[in-house]
Amino acid sequence: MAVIADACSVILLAKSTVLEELAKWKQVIITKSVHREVIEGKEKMFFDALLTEKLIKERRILVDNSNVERLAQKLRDDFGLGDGEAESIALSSNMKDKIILTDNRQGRKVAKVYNLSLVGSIDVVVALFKADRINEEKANSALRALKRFGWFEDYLIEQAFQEVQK
Amino acid sequence: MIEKKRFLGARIEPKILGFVDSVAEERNIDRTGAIKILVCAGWRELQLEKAIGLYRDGRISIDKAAKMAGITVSEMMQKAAMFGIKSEETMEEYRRGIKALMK
Repeated sequence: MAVIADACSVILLAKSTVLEELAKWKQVIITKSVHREVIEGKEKMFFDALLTEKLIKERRILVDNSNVERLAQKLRDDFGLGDGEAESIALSSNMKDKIILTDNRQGRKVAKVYNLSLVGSIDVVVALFKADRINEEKANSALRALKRFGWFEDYLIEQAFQEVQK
Repeated sequence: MIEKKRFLGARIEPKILGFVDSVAEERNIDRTGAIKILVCAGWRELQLEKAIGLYRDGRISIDKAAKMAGITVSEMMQKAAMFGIKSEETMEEYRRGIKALMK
């Protein structure tokens, strides 16, 4: 099963150092615009941008060049989505056997409208642990990084911490 | 190509002129240069506020907000987090997410 990720989740998973583990476990796909949005940080030497570039070069993350512009434009117009988010949802709508990975409020809302299978970064950390792809220490460290970033509700992070205890 | 410059005359309060002179002195530039710096910084700040507001209200996505504010998505995420804006993922969505990934 492929995971189509937006820039927001690629950045969060890179910062929490589990992006590589996810890419070893599932086929991670990003669109051209998501690629550009993440790699923009390279000029400022952001860790997430450098790691993503490395994983793309190693072909662990695939950059999809499908033409989904028609639906992407509709999503930009109707829901105020940026290029990367619109392309990710459009690509997810066109592909079979895929999940969309986004932590973007607006992106999650639109994914629900289109009835897409939706996951977030915290779910990824806990699932990696449950699937024995990362150990308890790594899972805790990733969740601490996500907590520090301040992007998620505290009760969700606390629930995740409980689920990665052996 | 040299950009054509336009003249702008404006009456401003002594307090604001103080800001201009302070920047001019700190950077060793004239008042015109200081005004340009302050206007650009103020413009960036206003665009950021606008983008954060639209993102908070669920009108635009984070990548669109970043583009509007002229910063990277990574930087915009940090700004949104600083303003206390959360992802809004629910417990039910979290559980469904784990289930979907474990298939």
